[in-house]
Amino acid sequence: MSLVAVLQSLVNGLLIGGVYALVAVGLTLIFGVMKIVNFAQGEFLMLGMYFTFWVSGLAKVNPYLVSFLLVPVFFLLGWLVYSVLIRRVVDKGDVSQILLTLGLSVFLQSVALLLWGSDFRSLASPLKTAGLRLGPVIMSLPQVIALVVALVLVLGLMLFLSRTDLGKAMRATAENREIVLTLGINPEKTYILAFGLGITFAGVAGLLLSPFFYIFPTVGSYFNLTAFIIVVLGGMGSVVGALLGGLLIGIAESVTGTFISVNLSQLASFVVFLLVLFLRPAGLFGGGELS
Amino acid sequence: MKKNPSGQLLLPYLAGAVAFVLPLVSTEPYIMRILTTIFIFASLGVAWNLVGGYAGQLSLGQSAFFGIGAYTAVLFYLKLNLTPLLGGLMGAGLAVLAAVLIGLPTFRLRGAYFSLATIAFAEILRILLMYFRDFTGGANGISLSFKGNQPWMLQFYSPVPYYYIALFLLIAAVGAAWRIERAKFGRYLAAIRENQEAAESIGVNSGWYKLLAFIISAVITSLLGVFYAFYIGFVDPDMVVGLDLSIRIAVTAIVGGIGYLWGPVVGAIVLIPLAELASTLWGGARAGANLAFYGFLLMIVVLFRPQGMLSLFTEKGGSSH
Amino acid sequence: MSLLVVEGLQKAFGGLLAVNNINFRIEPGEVVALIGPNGAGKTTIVNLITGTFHPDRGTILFAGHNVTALPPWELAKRGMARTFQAVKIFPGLSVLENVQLGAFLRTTSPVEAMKRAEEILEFVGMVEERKVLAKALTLEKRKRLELARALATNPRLLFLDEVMAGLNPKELAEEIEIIRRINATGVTILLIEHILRAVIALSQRVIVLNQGEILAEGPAEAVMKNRAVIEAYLGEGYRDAGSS
Repeated sequence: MSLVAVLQSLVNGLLIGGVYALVAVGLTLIFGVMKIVNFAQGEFLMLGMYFTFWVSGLAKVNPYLVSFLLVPVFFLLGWLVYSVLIRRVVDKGDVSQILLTLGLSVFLQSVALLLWGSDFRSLASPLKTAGLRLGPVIMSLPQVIALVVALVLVLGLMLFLSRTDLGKAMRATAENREIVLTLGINPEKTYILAFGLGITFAGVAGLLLSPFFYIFPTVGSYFNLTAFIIVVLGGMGSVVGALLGGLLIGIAESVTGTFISVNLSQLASFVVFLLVLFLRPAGLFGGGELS
Repeated sequence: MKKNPSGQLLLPYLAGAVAFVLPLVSTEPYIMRILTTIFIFASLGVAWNLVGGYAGQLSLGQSAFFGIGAYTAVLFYLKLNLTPLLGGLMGAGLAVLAAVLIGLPTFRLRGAYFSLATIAFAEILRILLMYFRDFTGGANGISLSFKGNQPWMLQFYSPVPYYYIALFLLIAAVGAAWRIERAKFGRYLAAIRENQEAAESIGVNSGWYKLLAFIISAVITSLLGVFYAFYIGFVDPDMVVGLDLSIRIAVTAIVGGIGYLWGPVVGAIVLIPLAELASTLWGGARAGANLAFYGFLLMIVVLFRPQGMLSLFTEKGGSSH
Repeated sequence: MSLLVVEGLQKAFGGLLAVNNINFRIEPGEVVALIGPNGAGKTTIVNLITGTFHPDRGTILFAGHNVTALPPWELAKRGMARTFQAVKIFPGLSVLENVQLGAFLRTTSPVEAMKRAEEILEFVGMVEERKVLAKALTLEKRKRLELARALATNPRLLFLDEVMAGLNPKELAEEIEIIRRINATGVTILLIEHILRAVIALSQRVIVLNQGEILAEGPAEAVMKNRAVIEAYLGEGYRDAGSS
């Protein structure tokens, strides 16, 4: 168990952890503001991957440039999904909300399967084999870009929530919906924003993954479960928690995979999940509001 | 739960009678298969309903119990030549253990947390089954080679005995749910679902009752797993412990009518043929696409008809939700 | 022997002391009123006694047994019942089913529980609405339903949390009469109330709570004239019967 192997494993974990964090932050944002657990979060990552795949393939552009199209499209998609579906269950309680987003998740997966088949696709990109060296540790360039972009977006979101009026309105809605109404703020605006952003984050995560991850219709479910674990670990509604949790889980998986068994790496996150649920359900930073 | 005006009680008995005599009219294998599958999923849905509909906790990990039953019986059969009737009892015992292990810590968690925890348990089981492949056959699963009619080993050449066993299991499951629904136990579950704090204030130990419902649900589900394994003659982790299966079970009950006795039965009658249709239309590589119906109908039901499709056929009695 | 003995009860929520050094007794058959300004801690005390929260300090004796920190269902079995300030009915079930659930505490038979439920509904005057879904009831009827459900558990001690709020004078008189009749059957009652008319009409003894501590105790008229009590209420203004 050489030091280099340990370092490499840690770095790999950190790199993938950034993407996890991005998906998880979207999830925690939606939960924080709307108190809805979006079981379909992973599917929007999947859609982001396919979107990137098709657009960059058809327009023959660098996948990262697709982001200029992806971001507005996904935000609008989030708005659409909210208006047609989510809006109707905001006040209907746990059961309806879980079932609706679960149904959406299943539906999106199946439609993807129907349209694009179960073949694993991968994005042809010259960047795929590019690597960086940091001392004895090798990092793949697309993964580094993914981590950097993810960090920038999450930190940007944190600034947005704490500095801007709209962001503060979102935090207020998360904390107490009734009070927000009396203050004259329409919580629905914050819902649309939260859901749109949450979905977009998932889509961007998909885009960032596509240069180095296989694209297939059920890829979402893996990231879905991992995102839930991270959100529970970090605390539902805590952006900081989702960020740190994402990096932590990424590292835990990577280390388990390298030193115990690749097949058990996923197990590590589930075990962490159950431990957190039973010992500290509020998570590391949880308090129920958006923070 | 739902009071059927006495006139409507006739329909299930009629359907039951038809189901009993059907094989005398036709033993067409395709029909037998569809109906057997309907019976299986209806039973699974009824079991799910005990926790999901009556107690209001959405379990998305029922496949864990299904798989425990299936693998236990299969392994005992292969290694010790033990009849699945006994192997199944072992499986049920393990399922009880699993239910206690899962239920005890998770029932105090809020809705979505509970559902996520059930998913986590099933996934952990699936990963472990894949990992210990020397023992369990790993991702390739275990095949049971057919060696001729052996009733005690649940091996039959004809589909008809399987059909009747599945029908019997369904009747047993529905019977159990019916007894529970009308008794104090079922009423307490409804109270917990409607308002747990109020229920506790009138003497209901909510954790205990939820756990009991979960255990019963687990036992029924595991026995169905045993049957399924020997009916199909094959088990693998994705098939019997997968998330897909858990979702299909939950959706069958919900689309049919969550919390209603006959809900899951209606759900199975609607969904299984639809899934078959989808398979034939888009079969092969796109086989998973039949889940599109499940997802779509689930959303429709949640948005427009939360009481499920059952309510299309019957008027609501005195109680409903 | 006193039916309920509360000694040294104390509870803090995250650094904020909600109730402090609460001592009182309730004798069998009494109707005791617990009054005080909003936020004084009245419901907290009931929550502590009936098991919703665990006290940080103090003991609770019920019929001589130490019941401190027992779960709510255990206390219900021993004979404590309550209503909630924010009414908690079973919305998707009918009125009859709601009450039947209370009766199940004392019997396993659905038929017997149903019978008992019908009796209780007669007693509180809601037989007509027995098949109505609870969620379709008005607030006033919901409160009465909650009361009926609590009665069905055959309690020895009944906690009523602001059951008179929002009632018009006629409804108020009816409610007072029902509670009087309940007490006449031998049920001891602790009444959290703001409506002074009810307090005076029903209670033999009044406990005044302010900022988590007991301010005064005694017969209604005497307590009302207590200077400290009047001052505690001054910011609120008196809430007289019938107007709110």
